[in-house]
Amino acid sequence: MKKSILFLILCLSVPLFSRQSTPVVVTLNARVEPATVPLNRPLTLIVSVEWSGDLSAVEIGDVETPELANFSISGSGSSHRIAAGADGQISIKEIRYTLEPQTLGMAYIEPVILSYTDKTTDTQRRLQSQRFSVEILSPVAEPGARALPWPVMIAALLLFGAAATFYLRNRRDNQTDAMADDVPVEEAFLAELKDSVSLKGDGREAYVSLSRLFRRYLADGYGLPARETPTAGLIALMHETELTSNQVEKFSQLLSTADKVKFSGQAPDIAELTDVYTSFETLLERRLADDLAARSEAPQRRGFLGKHKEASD
Amino acid sequence: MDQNIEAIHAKIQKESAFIETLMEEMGKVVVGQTYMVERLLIGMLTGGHVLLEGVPGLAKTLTVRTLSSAIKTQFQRIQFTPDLLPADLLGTLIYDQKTGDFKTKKGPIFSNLILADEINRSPAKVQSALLEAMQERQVTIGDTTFKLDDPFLVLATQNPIEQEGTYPLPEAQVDRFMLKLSIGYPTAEEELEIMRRMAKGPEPTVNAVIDPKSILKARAVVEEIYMDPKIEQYIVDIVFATRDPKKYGLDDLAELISFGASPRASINLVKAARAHAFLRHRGYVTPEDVRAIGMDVLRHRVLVTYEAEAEELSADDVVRKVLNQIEVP
Repeated sequence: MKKSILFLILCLSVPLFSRQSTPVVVTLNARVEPATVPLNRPLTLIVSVEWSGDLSAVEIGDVETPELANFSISGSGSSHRIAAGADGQISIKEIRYTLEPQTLGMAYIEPVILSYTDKTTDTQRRLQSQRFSVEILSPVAEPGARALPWPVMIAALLLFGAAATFYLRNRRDNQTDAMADDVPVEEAFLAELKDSVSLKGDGREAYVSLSRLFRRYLADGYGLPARETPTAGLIALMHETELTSNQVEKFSQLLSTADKVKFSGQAPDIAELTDVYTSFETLLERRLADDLAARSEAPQRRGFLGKHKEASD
Repeated sequence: MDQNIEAIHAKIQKESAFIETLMEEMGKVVVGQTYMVERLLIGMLTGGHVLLEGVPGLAKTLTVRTLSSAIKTQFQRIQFTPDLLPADLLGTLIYDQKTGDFKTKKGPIFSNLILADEINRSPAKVQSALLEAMQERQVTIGDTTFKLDDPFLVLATQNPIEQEGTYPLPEAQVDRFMLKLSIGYPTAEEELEIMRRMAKGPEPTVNAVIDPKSILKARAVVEEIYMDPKIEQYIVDIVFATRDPKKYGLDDLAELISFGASPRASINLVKAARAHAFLRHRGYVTPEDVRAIGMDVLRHRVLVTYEAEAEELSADDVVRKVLNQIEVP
């Protein structure tokens, strides 16, 4: 009887002493760092496999190399570690891929497929991660790196200097040509003097026209505020120009007499009118001759930058 | 020259002969200040009142008193204070116990040359009384109206410093003065001369050069001085440029002027320009005459904006720009 009871107990307790074959829960996580990457920076793909229990409970098999678009693998590595979880020990296997972007734009990382063997149940399973889309951005400046190599910079500076020199010389030559095309102001005033001032008649109109023309010439030819300055002030300003004292006296007389003619109706002296007319005409002709002489010298100043005038000057 | 203008010119040269003598006589007492003396003469010759602005000690009172002696007129100096009353200025009725009647006691305004010293220190009531007398040339005391003597000239002064407790003249009142003069310090040479002349001995005596009748006669002659239409147009252009600067190519002044000169400016420019021509012994007006007195006629009639004040631009700066921009005929 005793032997039967013992046998029954033994049979019933066999399941208690036999090994428990609960499958290990294995999870696969993948992430990329960073989410966007410049063209000249690497991207890291981290594939992490976790399970509860001992490291030896799961045997990680082959990890298929992920299919990549616009990336190339420059390196990879793996590691194991153990962490403490709420339900006990957690085993973690990490596989890292270093990826190099190829071109700007979008890049893709196809799912990572991983197989493992559950040692507790002696079963094999496969896990797959998600697909990743990564934006490849413009390259960033490398710290401490020069924008261009020295020889390139020097060559660029020399080229720029040569271009600037050529441009400035060309502009100066164009200005000289333009000067030659301009009508000298004295020439214009001489023409107007002959056209608008007539010595015929009682001279009143001639005096008024002559003084007006002379004031305009002082404004355009000498830069004086001749249109807005009364006679006394203008005479003082004439003394500060290159006009000789004799010329200043003559033209002062012109302006003063013109005032008398304009504002008191005084009849001018014709001889005096003729005299100031001739003086003004002579002044214009002399300044025109000087101006033309200066213009004819100007082309001789062309040549290489830094060359001096001809020895004959 | 037109026969009439030639005659006027000859007449002016004759009638203005006293000017040099008058200036010389005044020069015995007043050193320098030719600008002030000439402008006072312009005021005298046109009947226009003058506002003087300058710091104390610039011979303003001395000049007016000397002018009064030189033209043999009566002179009265009135110090304007905050407690001055209109009756102190114009006069009042005083009860005579013996007769039982009211007698009129005329105030200091009954004189030829009045120096209203520091006019901006008295309240508006007194200022108005003076300005009314200036305008009307008469004073009413009780129910009797008294005409003021001729020539009658008010020279008012304003102290540009010490603005505390003052009553600035309103713009409408300032406009009644023909000229506003800005009196400056004498030169170093003039200061030396002042020290040598005034620091010892009695003040030199001034002899009368002309009398009030001659002044009135000179005034009539000044009004005959010929002004060409071109000069009249020049004056109008100057005054209008202060009202509409953009039209005259003064775009940068448009934001700086809040009010341009009134028609009183045009009238006073004409009168003062004629008087200036008289001082120069000319029977006709030239642009020089207008430019010479333009600043004095316009500086107190052109009101500047806050923008101008922020840029530290005064009415003088604005008027100067206008005068330098308008083309002379």
